[in-house]
Amino acid sequence: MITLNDEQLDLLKEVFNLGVGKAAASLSQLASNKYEVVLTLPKVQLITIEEMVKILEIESNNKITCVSQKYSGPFNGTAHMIYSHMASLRLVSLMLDSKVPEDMISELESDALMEIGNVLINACLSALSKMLNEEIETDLPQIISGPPLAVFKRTNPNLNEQVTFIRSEFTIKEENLKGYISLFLETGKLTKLLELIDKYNKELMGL
Amino acid sequence: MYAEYELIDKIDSGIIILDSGFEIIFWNAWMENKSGINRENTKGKKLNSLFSSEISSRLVDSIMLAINNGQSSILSDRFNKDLLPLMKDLSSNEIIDQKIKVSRVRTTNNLKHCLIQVFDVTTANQRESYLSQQNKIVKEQIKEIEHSNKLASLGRMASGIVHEINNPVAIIKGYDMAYEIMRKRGQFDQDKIDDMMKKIQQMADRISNIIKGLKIIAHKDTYEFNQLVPIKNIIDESIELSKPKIETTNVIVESDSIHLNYEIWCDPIQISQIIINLISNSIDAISEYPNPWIYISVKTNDKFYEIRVMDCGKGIPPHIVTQIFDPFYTSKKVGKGTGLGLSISQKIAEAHKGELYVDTNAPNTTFVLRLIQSKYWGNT
Repeated sequence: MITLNDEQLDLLKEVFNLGVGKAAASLSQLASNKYEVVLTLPKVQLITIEEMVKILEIESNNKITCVSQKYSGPFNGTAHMIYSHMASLRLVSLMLDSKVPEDMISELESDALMEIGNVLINACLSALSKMLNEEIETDLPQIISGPPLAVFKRTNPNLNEQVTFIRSEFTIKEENLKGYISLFLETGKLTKLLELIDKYNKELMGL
Repeated sequence: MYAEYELIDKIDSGIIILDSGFEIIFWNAWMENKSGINRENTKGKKLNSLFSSEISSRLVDSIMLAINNGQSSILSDRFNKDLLPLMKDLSSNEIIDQKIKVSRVRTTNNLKHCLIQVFDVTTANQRESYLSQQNKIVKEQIKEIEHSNKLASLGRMASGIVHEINNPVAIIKGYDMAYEIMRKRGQFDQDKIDDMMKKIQQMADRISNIIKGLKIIAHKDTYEFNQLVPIKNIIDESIELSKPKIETTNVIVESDSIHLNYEIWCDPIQISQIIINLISNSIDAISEYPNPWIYISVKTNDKFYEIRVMDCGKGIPPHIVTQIFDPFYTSKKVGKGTGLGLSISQKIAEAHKGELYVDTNAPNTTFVLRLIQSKYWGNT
């Protein structure tokens, strides 16, 4: 098991905060600036998929919608953006001014959710890419819904795998809508990420 | 292998490939058909120079992101209208509903190109808006059915109201007549008058209680769910408050040992009302039984706590179970109950996102009050 020291954690938090900030602006834009989407300072944890599943099961009422994008660059993996199912339905119907009932999600709503996830993942990864000064390519997004355990058994069969779990709370003030978005990156290649962070750190301090 | 691009030319969606200088190097047959622009006229041109109207800035940004940073994007129809000016058919100016996917592709000699896939979602859109309309109609029909059910229960209720209010009114009239007789005879017995006034007062209270209960049923009263309370405390308190009634009978009321960490978000006074009401109903039903008892327990079930109030009765007949939650339904003797207790209790349970029902499978008469565990409260 890899652990991060406070400095490394802070750095990761800072990077994703940049990404999340950018993403919030893009989301507000998607919602035609009718709503201000606020995302809180992200929490970063290194945990196993199993532990993450437990957290999500409780919070999401055991149903999530997950947008996944493969990425490649200095380290490869898949980034997932996770919404609790109910929050995602409300988010979409709000942002779209939709007449579609909140209890059903159609093909086109699922495209829209995919777009929101896509905007967030791209923003976070491009912040990371800028910081590391390394290109991180992303693939087209996929979407999958279901209980957290079933979802991750399909995408990451190894439940003991350690992941970087980043979560941030989003709120849409005007509508009093609150939910979590969670992003996780497989950290199988974490050592490489840590090396790059250390390198960046040293450059920052002029060493 | 196949001739260059033949395969993607036959795909039933739009395919455009741009080189790293944003110039078009491929434009498939689908794109020719929907845009009316011949492939020969697209070679080496930039996308925005092909159309007289502007193309969406989100699309331009996504293309830049793909070529410069290697990031892929999806542009959904829901968030982006009229991404490219592609026409539904040649006779109309209607633009097709579209979804576009943009990603980077590399050539064999590692040049960074951009693949744009355009999907026509017009039919999907029409189908969905049709479905959503149908859904609305069905929901309205359900509402109507519910309404007519309500009318039926209103019918039953009306006869209940007449009965419940007639009784005290008749009694009040009776005392009025008695007073009239006293007055005519000039016989004023102050003790008797005091007694009559007291009874009139009681009857008036009775009517006003019925009206209060009706108000709760008619419109949702506002509740304060701002307290996190252990169920154990509510049950203990309810039993304590029921003591005066319990002590006039032989009924033994006991509760299971209940975890203090079984907590709910609720308006505790209202929840306690439900339990007091269930205890009181049980006592009325079983007090004549030999060795009567009431037993209260709490179980967890999925995201809920189930408070079970069981008594020594042998269950409620199935044809009555459906009616007992109707306002003014009562099996009690005239004057003993208003018939509003259970329907008010059910309203309170529903306002707490819970349920109150009869467990018809239990061997003894059992009412179940199902309430959401505090940790799941926010998720519903």
